[in-house]
Amino acid sequence: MPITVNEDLLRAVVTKDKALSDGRTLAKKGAYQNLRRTADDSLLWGECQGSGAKPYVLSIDLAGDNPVIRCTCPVKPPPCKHTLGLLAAFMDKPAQFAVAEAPAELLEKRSKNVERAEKKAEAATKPKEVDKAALAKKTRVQRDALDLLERLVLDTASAGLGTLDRAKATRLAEQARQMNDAYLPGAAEALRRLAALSERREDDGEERFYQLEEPGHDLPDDLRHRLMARHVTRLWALVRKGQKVLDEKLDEGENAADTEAVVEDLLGHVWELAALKAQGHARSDLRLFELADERYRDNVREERIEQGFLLDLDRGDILVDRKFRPFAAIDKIKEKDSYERPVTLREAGIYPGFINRRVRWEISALASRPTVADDFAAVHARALPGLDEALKRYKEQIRNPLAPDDAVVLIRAADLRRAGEALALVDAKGATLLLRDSPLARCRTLNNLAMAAGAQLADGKLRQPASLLVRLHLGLADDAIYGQPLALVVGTNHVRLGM
Amino acid sequence: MPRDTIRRLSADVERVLVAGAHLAAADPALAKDKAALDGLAAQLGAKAPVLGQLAAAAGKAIGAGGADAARELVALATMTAQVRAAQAQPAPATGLQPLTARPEIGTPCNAKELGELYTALVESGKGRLERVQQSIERGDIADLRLVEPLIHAMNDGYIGDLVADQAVPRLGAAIVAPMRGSIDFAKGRRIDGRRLRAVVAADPAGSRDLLARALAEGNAELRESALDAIADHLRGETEFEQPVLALVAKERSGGVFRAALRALAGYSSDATLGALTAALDDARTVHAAAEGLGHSRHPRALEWMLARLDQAVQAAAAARKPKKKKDAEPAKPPANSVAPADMAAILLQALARQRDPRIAAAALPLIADYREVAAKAALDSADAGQLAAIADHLGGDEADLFPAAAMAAVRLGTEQAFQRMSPAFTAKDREKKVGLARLDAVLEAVTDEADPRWAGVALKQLDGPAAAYAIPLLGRFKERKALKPLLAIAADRKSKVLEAALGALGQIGDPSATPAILAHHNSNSWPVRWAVQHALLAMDDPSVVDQVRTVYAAQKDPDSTDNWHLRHLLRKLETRFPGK
Repeated sequence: MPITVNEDLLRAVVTKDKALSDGRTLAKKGAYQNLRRTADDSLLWGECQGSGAKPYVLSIDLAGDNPVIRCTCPVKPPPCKHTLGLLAAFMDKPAQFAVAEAPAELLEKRSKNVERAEKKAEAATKPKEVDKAALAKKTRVQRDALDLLERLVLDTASAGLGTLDRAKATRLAEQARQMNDAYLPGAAEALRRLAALSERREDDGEERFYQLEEPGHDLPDDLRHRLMARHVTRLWALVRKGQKVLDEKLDEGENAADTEAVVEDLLGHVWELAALKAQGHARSDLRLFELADERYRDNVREERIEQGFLLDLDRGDILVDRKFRPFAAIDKIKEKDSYERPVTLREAGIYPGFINRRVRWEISALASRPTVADDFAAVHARALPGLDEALKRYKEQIRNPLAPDDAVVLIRAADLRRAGEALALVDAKGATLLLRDSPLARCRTLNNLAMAAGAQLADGKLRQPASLLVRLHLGLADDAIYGQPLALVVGTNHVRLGM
Repeated sequence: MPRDTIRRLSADVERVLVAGAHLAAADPALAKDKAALDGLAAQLGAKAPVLGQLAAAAGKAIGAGGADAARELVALATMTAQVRAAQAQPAPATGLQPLTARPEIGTPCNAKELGELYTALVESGKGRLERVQQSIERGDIADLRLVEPLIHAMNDGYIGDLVADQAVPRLGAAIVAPMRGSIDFAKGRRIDGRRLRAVVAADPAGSRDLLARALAEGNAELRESALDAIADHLRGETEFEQPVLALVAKERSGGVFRAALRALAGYSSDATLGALTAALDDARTVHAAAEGLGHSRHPRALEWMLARLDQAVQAAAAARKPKKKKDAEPAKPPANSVAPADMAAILLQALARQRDPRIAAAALPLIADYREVAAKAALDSADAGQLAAIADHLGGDEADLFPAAAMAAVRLGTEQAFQRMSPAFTAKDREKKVGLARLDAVLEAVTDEADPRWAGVALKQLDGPAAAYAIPLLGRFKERKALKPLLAIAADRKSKVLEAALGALGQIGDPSATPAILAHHNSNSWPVRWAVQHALLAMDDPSVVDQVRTVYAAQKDPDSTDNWHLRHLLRKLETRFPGK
């Protein structure tokens, strides 16, 4: 079945609103000619008169999982305004596209694509035929890099974290580049995060918005050192587990066990959707409700990170839809969509991981629908009923030194109260979770929660049913568990607190 | 207790990790931790095997030397972190209090718009003023998640004024709590003063503590802002009178001193009256003192001002008398003194803020010399007869008195207002400068939308010379009968009449007028182009997007700079009606 051309598809492919607007203008202008479609609407093609003498030739193949968009104009990568205009024109007035036999050239391209996709799928399901020599070489390079990382960690610990000044940090950052070259981007990132904490940035008197700074830059020395110690232990765990996994790999070849997959992920393994499916990390008919969305500049990764937290309406898991946009190519990569309506994914890959697993899907797999009251009933029903369960899961996660320090969970809130400068979530049993802005948070949300919850009171208490999406984290000063609020749902009122 | 021992161990391991792993061997605290762990392990045995493991790891870290010291210390740190994580408990929440009820703020922005707005508010770059402006027009600037960026942006040299004046007030009382926290009393920068004023504007009663603190501890910037805020929002509040008087007595900064005089408005004590009257004779403080006196509640303040007015009027009259040759040269006035005529005008302005028949009686005879200031001073205190006398000036040819005369006519009631102002449209001099000034004053004063006769008057003027003044009334009253004639005007008239017709058609909002408005998009007159834009945005009709796009697409070269106004309009409409 071909991909349906609708608002969901337009949203999914548009990289710049201006391009869509210009495309619509082209359609109005009558710039399109010879518009054609196949009888099953799986292929659209035509011509568009641009500024040149000859019209651009464009086509959109909707037969696969993702639309294949082609245009002879110089704008790369697609979609350009010409192809977006074609899609918009088809969505608005399909009748202006005459039904025709697909051109042989396009069919040939399609069959090559299908062939490629099939091969890929087949390859993903079959045990990988690997070039053992190449894999062994790569693994050895990775293994050597981990040895280097081990030396770096030990040298840093030996000299003392307090002596990590700007010069040493610069050297560490340079060595992080070697990790990248050795196919260990995850290790490189961890090293750069440690280096980034080397010195407090001197206050130049200029008032910057806090979100423009790297979290932790303004911590007092004792907390900064504590955070550095956390990075060191994490790096150490990465070295030890990584060495073990790579040694096994060198001895036995590929290993698909989940724990190894997690370690490989942390080392920087790049997953392909097909590989996720092949390894049993696929789900079908996944019904998701986006509760929160955040976007920030990560100066250590030199990327803009965009992530949405989506509730699995059937299982209650909080999944993450995450996109990385390198600063250097930010205009070339489409911004992640945020979903204000519930979505159903026909098929999706779910990464191995901890509480918040990453979810990915093909464009054609997504369908959105209007929000109904039952969705909110499902949100409250899937929220963890109390703090006990949430804390149990979180502690299970952080016991693993490789796991992230934080986890996002949805908890039923019997009430929210003020606790000095902070707020507290109170569950049905009266247990409390202190809510505050983490010093490492990319976005402060506590005040937003106070404002949002303050508007949802009845007789001084939070209206019911109420659920709060929180990021659980360990306090730097006391290792106690705190929550950073991300979204509040009261009845059918959904307030996203962060950005 | 095992938990305390592990916490101590964790702290000691971190300390050594910061100082250097080679120091672990000689660290007495680590040795002590190990001994404590050994003891606990022996005591609890198999019940808590982790204690034994930690003791062993601590032993290795202490015993290791050279290169192994770091390895063992990092291994111990990792193990300790794991154990600490397993023991982690929620932070205790004490002293729980109910939340404060707050007004609701929505989250109308989607994530993408939010990101763009956020960037516009907190980062530098091109086009951000326009982006913020568009968001203010759409109304989605009032988003809960933009509260902090908006507070930050108030300090922005480029968009700060726009944010402070147009965006922050849209959040209303909801912005008070977060903004309170953003005021830095220690630094007392300009932005802190601006934030203080904004907090007081949004929640005057709840900001008393901030004002008291700013007056007592703040620097000149904060003191001046606090005083301005008192004058504007908490005028006459007893608790501030003494602190403000104290500042007046000792203040050296001119700005703060003037603000303190303004803040003395609304009080009734002798001390306050004394301070204000003393400051009236100095040109540097006369305006602030007059403002204070204008709002004074002192029983003798009015009497004092009237007497002072009389004195100033006489002195000014004497100064105007032609000098005889034998008269001695008048003495040079002292520095910073106020000329009598200026003093009289300033006092008349101050008197306009009070209501008393004596004011009208004193001001009306002064209209000949002090013109509009005297007329306006009398407005609120005049009886019907006196108002009629002021309104009579509408029939005259003194253009500077028309605004006050029109205001007086409005105060005489709907009927009188109509009777006195409508002839402006048919006056013989309506095409002359004086007649146009009269029409301007009338147009400004007509606000009574309930009186249908104004639409009738305006409809009769569409072909006449006063059409440009009549047409806006039709838009204001959304007079549908005017649709046809306005469309006819849009088809064949030019300049001001056309601008007015386009504006009125936009306000009436009938979709059938869109093509007629759009037909002028390429006018050679920029005011007409702007009128087209405003009218189409005022229509509030999603179908306009498609019509504008059709026109835009029909241009020979839509992307050329000649068409930027159309592009700009299309973007605005697309933002207002997304997906169209």
